[in-house]
Amino acid sequence: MRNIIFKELKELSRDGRFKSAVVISCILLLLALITGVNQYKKSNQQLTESVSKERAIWETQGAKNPHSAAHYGTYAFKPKFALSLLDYGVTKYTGNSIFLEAHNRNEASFSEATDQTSLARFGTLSINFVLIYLFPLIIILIGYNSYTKELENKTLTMLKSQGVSSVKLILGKWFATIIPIFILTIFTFLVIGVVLSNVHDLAFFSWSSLMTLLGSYLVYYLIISTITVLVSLLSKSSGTSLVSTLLIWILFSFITPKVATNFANEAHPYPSKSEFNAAVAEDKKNGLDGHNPWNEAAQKLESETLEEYGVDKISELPFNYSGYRMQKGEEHEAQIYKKHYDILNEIAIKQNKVYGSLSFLSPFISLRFLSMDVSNTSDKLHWKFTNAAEKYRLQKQEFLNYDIKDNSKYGERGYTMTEKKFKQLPRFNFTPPTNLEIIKENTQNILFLCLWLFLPFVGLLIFSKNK
Amino acid sequence: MFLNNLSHEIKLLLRSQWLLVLFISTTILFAFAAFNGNKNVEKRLNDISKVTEGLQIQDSTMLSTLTKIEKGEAVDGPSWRLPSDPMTIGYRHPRLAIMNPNEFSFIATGQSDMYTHFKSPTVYGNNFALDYSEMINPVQLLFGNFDLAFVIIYILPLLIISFTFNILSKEKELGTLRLLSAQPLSMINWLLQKTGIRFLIFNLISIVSLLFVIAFFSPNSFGDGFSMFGLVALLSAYNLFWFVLSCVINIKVNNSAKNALTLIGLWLIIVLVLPASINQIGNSLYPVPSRLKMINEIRLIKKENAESQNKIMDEYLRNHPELAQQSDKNNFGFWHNYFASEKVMEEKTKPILVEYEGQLKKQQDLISLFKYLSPAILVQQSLNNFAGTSEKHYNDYKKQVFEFSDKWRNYLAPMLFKNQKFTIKNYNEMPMFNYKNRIKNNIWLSSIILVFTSAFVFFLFNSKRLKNKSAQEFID
Repeated sequence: MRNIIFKELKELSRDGRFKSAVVISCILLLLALITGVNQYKKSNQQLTESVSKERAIWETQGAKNPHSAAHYGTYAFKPKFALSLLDYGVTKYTGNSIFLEAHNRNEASFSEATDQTSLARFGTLSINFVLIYLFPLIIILIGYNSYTKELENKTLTMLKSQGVSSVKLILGKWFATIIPIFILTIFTFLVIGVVLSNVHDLAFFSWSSLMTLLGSYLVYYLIISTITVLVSLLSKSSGTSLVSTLLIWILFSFITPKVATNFANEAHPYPSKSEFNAAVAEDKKNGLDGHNPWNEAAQKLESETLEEYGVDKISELPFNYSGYRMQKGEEHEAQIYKKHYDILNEIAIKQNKVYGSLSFLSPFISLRFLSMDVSNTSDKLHWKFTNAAEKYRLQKQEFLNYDIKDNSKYGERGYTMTEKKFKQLPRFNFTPPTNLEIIKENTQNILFLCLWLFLPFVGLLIFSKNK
Repeated sequence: MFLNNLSHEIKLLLRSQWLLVLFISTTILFAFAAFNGNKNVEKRLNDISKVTEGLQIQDSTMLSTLTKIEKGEAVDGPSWRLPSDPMTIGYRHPRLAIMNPNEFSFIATGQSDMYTHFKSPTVYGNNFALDYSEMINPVQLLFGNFDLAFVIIYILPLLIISFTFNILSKEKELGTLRLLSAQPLSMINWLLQKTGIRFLIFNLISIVSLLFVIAFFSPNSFGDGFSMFGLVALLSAYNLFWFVLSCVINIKVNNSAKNALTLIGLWLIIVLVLPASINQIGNSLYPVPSRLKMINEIRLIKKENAESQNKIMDEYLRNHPELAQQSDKNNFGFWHNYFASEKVMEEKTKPILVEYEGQLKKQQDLISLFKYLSPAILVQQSLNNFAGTSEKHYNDYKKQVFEFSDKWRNYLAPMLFKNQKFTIKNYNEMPMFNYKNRIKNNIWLSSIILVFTSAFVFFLFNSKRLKNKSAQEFID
C-alpha cells in the first residue's frame, strides 16, 4: 500500500493542474489573510475607539435626573473575536451595536451588509471561503480519476496480476488523496495560528478553538476524499467521475444550503419588524398574555409594598417609591420583550433545525454551522450577545432607578444624580462560550459529519472488495 | 453545409436524449426557483397588506373621533392625544411609505430579504437615520435564496459546459475528426456552425422554459413586453458568453477531460472567486465608512443639544419668525420645545449624515464599477435592477421616504405653530406616499456589453485560427 501511495503522490507532484490549483489557492489564502488582518485591525480599532468614546459620553453627561440619563441611553458593542478573521460567518449580516435605553429593547442595528452593494451576496474572500469551497475542489482534482485512470490506461489488470488486493489499492488511492490536502490544511492553520498570535489586541484567541476548526475541516476533507474515490471506483470513465463529483460538490455547497433557506423560510417564517413591534405594543397595552397589564400590576405592587413595610401611604415608605415603581415597570416590560424575543429565537432555532435536518443531503451545512460557532461568528453567538446586552440594560436601569429610589424623596422635583455617580455604572462585558461548550452545543453537527464519513467509507470498503 | 450540420446535430442530440434532459432539467430548475421567488414576493405582499390593514383600522377610529370632535360631541382621552392635534397625527398616525414589488421581483431576491418594504416616518424623530433592515435570521442571508437569478447565474453555465465541453474533442477522440477534415469544408467554419447550432438550441430551450415558468407563476409580467424582451436578451447574451468561452477552450485545449476541467475552473473564477475577491479587495481598498464613528458623532451632538436645550427655542423662533408671530411665546407646550430641539438636532446632524451617505455612495459606486470584471456580477446586478431589488432601489426608496417625511412635516408643523386643528378635510388632502421606481434597469446595455465581451474573447483567442483554415491544427 505504501508503494501505491508513493506512486500516486509522485504522479501528483508532476501534475501541472494540481500545482496550479494549489498555487492559486495559496495566493487566495494569502490575499484573504492579509486583507482579513487589515480589516480586523481597522474595525477593532474603530470598536475600541467607539467603546471608549461612548463611555466618555456617558460619564461626562453632567449632573442629570437618572431617568433622563436612562432615556439618553448608551450603547453595547459586540467585541471582535479573533477567529472572526478566519470565518466571517454571519457578522456582516448582524449589527454590532445595540442602543440601550429606558422602556425599549432595541435590536442590533445597521449591519455591514445593509451598507454594502449586492456584490457582497456572492460571498467574501475569506480564509474560510478558500477552505470550504476551494480545498474540496483540489481533492476532487486529485481523486476523480484515481481508479478510472487505471481502467482507462489498462493498468488495472497489470496491478491485479501482481497480486495487489483491491481494498489495499483503493485505500492506497484514498490515502494519496488525503495526504496532500492534509499537509496543505495543517500548514495553513499553522500559519494562521502564528499570524493570529502576533496580532496585537486580539480578543478571545485560543489555540484549542483553532485546533477544533482544523479538526472539523480535516473531517470534511476526509468525507470529500472518500466520496471522490468512491465515485471514481463506481465510474466507468474519468469524465463521468469528474462530472459526478463536481455535481456532488455543487449540490453540497450551493444547492442544498439555498434550498434549505427556502424550506426554512416557508416552514417557519419570521414576522416582519412592524408585526413584531405591534405584538410587543399590544402586550405592553394589555399585559402579558392579555392579562395583568402594568397599570393593574402597579396597583398590586403598591398595595403589596405598603403592606410589607406596614405603612398606609407611599410617602411614608423609607425610600422613594417612584424609583422602585419605575424599576418594576421596566422589569415588567422586559418580560414582554423577553416573551417576544424568545418566540423569535424559537423560530430561528426551528429554521436552523431545517438546515440541520438537510445535513443528511450535505455535510457542508454541518461544517458551516460548526465553523461559525467555533469562530464566534454564528447567529447563536449573536443571540447570546443580544441577551447579554438586554441583561446589562436592565442592570443599568436598576442602577439609575434605584438611585432615585434611595437618594431622592417622593414627589421631589428637579432631583439630579451627580456626574461622579454615572461613572459607577459597571461597564458592559461580554464573554463568549468556551470551546468545550461550543462543541457540546454542536453534537448534532459533529454526529452528522461522522456519519457522512462513516457511511461512504464503509461503501468504499464494500465496493472495493467487490472489484 | 449549414443545413447538413444542423440536421446532423439535431439528430445526434435527439438520439442521445440530451434535448429532453436539458428541457426537463431547465424547466424543473426554473420552476422551483420561480416558485421560491414567488413565495418571497407573496410574503412581502402579505406583510404589506397586514400593515395596511392595521393602518386602515387605526384611521377609521381616528376619523370617527375627528367626526365627533367636529360635531362638538364629547370624546374620551386626554386632549393632547386627540387627533385634532396635528402632532398627534404626526406622531401617532404616521402614513405608510410602502415599496411594492414590481412584476419581476420574483426573478431575483437581491437585497429584498434584508430590507423592510414599509416605513412610517413620524413628523419628527430620527427620520434621517431610520433603520431599514428587516427582521431575518442572518443564516438565511448568508446562504441566500434559490431563485431564478441563482439558476441563471450559477447553474445555466454549468449546463452549457456539460453541453459543449467536448464538441470538438469528442470528434478528435473518436477519430471522426480526420474523416471530417478530409471533407471539402473549413474546420473552423464547421466548428463555429456546430457551436452556433448548439447555442441556438440551448438558448431556445432556456428561453422557452423561462417564459413557460413565468407564464405560469406571473402571467402579468407579459404585460411589459419590452422588459420581457430585455430579460430574454440578457439571458441570451449570458448564454452566448459561456458558449464562446467553451468554443475557445475547445479549440485551445481540445481534450475532453482537460476541456471540462478548464471550463469548470473558469466557471469557478468567474462566478465564485472573482466576485468574492473583488468584494474583499474592494472593501479593503475603499472601506464602507464607519457607522460606529457616525453614531459617536451624533451622540456628541445630542449631548451638546441637551445642554443647550433652553437656548434652542429662542434660536429656532429667530430663524422662523413667521411661526413665532402666530403663537404666544409664553405658552409654548411640550411639542413646541421638542419640535424646535429636534429641528436643531436634525440640522446639526445632517452634515454628518450627508457626509456619511456621500462616502457610502462613493464606495458603492466604486465597487459597482468592478461589475464589468465578471459577467456573473454584471448579470446579477442587471437582474436585481430588473427585479427592483438592487441596493440602488433601496437607497432610492430611503431617499423617497425622506423626501416624503419632509413633505409630511411641512404640512403638519405649520399647523402646530399656528394653533390650527387637524380636521377630516386635512386628512383627505394630506400628502400620501407613492413609491416610484426611478432606477433605470439598463438590461439592454448589460446585454450589449455581454455580447461585446463575448466577441472580444472570441476574436482575441481565435483570430489566428480564423485566418488559418487548415484542419491540421485541430487534429494535432
